[in-house]
Amino acid sequence: MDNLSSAKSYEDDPDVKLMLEFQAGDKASFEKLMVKYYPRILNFIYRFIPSREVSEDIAQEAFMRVYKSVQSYRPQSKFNTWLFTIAKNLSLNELRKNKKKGASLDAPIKSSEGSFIRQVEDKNALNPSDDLIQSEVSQVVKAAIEELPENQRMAVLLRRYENLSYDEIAKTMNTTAKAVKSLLSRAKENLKVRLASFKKSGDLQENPNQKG
Amino acid sequence: MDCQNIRKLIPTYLDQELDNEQTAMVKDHTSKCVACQKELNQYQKSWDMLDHLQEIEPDPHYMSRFWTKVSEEKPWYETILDNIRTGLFANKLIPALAVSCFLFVMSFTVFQRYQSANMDQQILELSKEDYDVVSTLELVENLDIIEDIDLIEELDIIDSLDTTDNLQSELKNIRKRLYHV
Repeated sequence: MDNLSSAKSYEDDPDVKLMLEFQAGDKASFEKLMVKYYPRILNFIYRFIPSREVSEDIAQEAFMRVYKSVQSYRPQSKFNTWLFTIAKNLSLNELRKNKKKGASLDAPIKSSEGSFIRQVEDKNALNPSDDLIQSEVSQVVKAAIEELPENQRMAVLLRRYENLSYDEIAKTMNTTAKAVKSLLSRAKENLKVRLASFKKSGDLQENPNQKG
Repeated sequence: MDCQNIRKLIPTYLDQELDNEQTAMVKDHTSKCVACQKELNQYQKSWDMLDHLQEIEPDPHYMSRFWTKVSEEKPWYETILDNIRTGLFANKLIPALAVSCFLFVMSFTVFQRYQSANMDQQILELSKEDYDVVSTLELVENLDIIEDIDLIEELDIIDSLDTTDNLQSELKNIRKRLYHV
């Protein structure tokens, strides 16, 4: 498909239309896109790089890239695919930059049961509230996602939280739909192992790391 | 299809990304095989657990922070260019500037030509009426030089003379020539 026909096929995307309006000089259209996508982009990045400050900076940078590329913008894909590609690239760059600085202090700890369980911050809690349990589940899920290799993690985030199709994920990750299928299969297998173990241990008070 | 191959397809089956034939196979097998059904349930539950991942709210000032960054990064001339590009004055400013430049150049050219013609005219008029005055003025300005030259010549003559009488008469002659007396 040549550039002209591909551009025409994506102009039905309402977000592409907003971007083209912005290209014509309507800054309000850009703000509409930002209002719609900023929270999603922020959380997408945050699930990948669990630092609020860094995530905010990267989200700002992603939209700055969109803003600066307005004159050369030619719709080659759905707007959200393009936007998430920018966010993905920035996140991966940041992650690789941080890897050089050493291992994360938040790396999960392997328990005697063989499962990966995150330490509870409040060791003195005897009767955890529902909120705390919810928070703990969130922490466990977060840890399980962070355990995944980069590409599997990226595929999971795009599928589970952004509901992109295999083809859209492939475009975002610059790979094939077949490769995405394989990534998600392996990612789900890893998540099943990690989260199934947590579910088996159940009660937080039985966590051996909390005793003593 | 055996359990091992069915279990490989379960993750993609749950994403509804299998073709019709494979979808039918997995559905049929898991309805009959307890172990594979259990495996499917575990995949589904761990996938559903991802809903528990807490989201964060963006900084409430993210929009103003963004525009501040935009203005800080953009040089002043780009701000002006952007205003022109966005059509703030695109339909009026550029043509107006072009016309203004043209008019200015034309005016300057005409003025210069007028000045030049006027000066030529003045010079011509000056030549007709005041040529003699200018000539006289030139003589007066150079009179000292003329006198010096004449005096020197005369002095040379005087030097060559032997008697006072001859000197006196020569002096008279000098006066006559210099002052037209």
